[in-house]
Amino acid sequence: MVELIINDGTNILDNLWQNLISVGARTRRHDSSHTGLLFSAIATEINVAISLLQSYSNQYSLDTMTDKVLIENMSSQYAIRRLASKSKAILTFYRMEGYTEGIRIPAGFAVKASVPGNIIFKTVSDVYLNKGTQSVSVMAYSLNSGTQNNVDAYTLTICADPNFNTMFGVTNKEPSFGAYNDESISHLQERAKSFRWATEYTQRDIENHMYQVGLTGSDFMLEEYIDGPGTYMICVDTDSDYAFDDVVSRISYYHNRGIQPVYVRATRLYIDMYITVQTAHEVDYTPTEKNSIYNNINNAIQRFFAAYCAIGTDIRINALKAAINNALSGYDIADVEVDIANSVVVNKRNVVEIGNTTKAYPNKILTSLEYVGGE
Amino acid sequence: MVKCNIERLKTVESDFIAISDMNTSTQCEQNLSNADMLDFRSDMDNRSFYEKTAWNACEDLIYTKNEETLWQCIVGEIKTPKGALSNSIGQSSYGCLIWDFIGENLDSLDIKEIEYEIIQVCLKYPEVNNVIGIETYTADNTMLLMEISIDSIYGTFDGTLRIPTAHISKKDWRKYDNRILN
Repeated sequence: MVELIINDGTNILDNLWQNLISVGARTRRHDSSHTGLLFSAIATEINVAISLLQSYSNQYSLDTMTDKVLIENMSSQYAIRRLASKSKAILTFYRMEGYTEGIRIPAGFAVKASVPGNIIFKTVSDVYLNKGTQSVSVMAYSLNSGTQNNVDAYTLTICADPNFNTMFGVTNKEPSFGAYNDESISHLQERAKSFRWATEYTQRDIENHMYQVGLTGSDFMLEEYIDGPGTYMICVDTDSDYAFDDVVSRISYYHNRGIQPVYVRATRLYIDMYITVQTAHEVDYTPTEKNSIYNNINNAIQRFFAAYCAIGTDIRINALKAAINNALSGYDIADVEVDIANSVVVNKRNVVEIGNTTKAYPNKILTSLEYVGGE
Repeated sequence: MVKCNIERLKTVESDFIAISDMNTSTQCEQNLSNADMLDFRSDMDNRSFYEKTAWNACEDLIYTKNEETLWQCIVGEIKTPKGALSNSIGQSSYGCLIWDFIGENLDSLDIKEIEYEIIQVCLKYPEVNNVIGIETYTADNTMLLMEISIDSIYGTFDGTLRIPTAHISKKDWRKYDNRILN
């Protein structure tokens, strides 16, 4: 992408002069000469063109765009603009003292708030104050939208039809709630910019899809923003290209709104290891016991890689030694040394760094036992 | 050593211009050997009517050097009202204030002020050592003619400047004699 440098344009003028002098057409710069005036005009026009390009290119990025219609359109894949909503309230109708007849309060019965602003709520269903019943509650919605309809408790107290005033009264024991104003475009823009699919449960959805096609957690890796906002990488470890294509075709069946996946097949890094174990038993172990030690070491390494070495996960040699030590806890072990073949780089922290689309596998495991004697 | 365009064309390699189509056999007559202050002058500057865009080697667009360039720069700046190029990069202070006097009844004080502004423009150029002479003439009480002598690092030279128009007219120019113009 071309980077547009916006300043007062003096650098363009400098460059024009520099070019002219470097080709030998002028000996030095002189701004008031015909050449200088011409260059000044050229630099001004170029600067105007660059500024214009910058203002246009700004409209293609959610971070910098200012056009309200574009913001709403561009944001729509990350966040839907919230429109004004109505307020909800639980209205409680109670019987007036001395009135004993049954009362039907029809749906759409209007109740006015005792606060300024002509705020009216209407009930959503018929309710009855039967004989012997003192009060009844019903849900009501505000007539209009907007936060001004979120009123305090005990303010919805005026029956719009005064004929009922002698029969029952009404109030709201809790504040009304749930009304919003239209979301401002700038707020929508901020919300869309802060969109992260991990927090929108999309990552969990994708992980579920991966499990559904039969992959385990160490077989795939997800990375957000691999190619800009709204993109993510699915790195899958498969045995063959054919298997990879098969997995991709099955995952592609699922779609996540506003998300563009990039599929990558993990590369495999096979690691040769030389394990040296010093035993310290009273006498050297028998061949059968040694064979068991070999098997334990082999199993420990395989389990270590299976459990810890997912795609992109570095291999900590110290952790591997600890795993081997743990596997040999039934034996007297003086020391365990793990050497990695020269084809793989072990850094100063004793860690094999793995690229984020690479998965490590154990290859040859050569084990030697050295008897160093007991106490 | 600065080369004239016609010299440059003899050696240039271009994908866009067929050099063979251009007549580069003409010997360039411009001597640019001791050029310090270089600029160009087009036919437009001679005719004051229009610029001929097609150019033939050294004829239409020619190099000017040293005192010629300096004079051209000074005259160009005097002919431009100050602030006219304020939108151009690096030209905010370009121009001369004598244009504020257009339409005024000029008296001797105004004439001195005009001469002062012209001298100020000349002295803006580091190549100018001093303005050693300035004479003002009038014609028809509507036009001024000024003769300026400049001492510069390229030597002393004179020039004639007609204000406000560049048309050469056979006016009866009289030396300004400190009377009120009416």
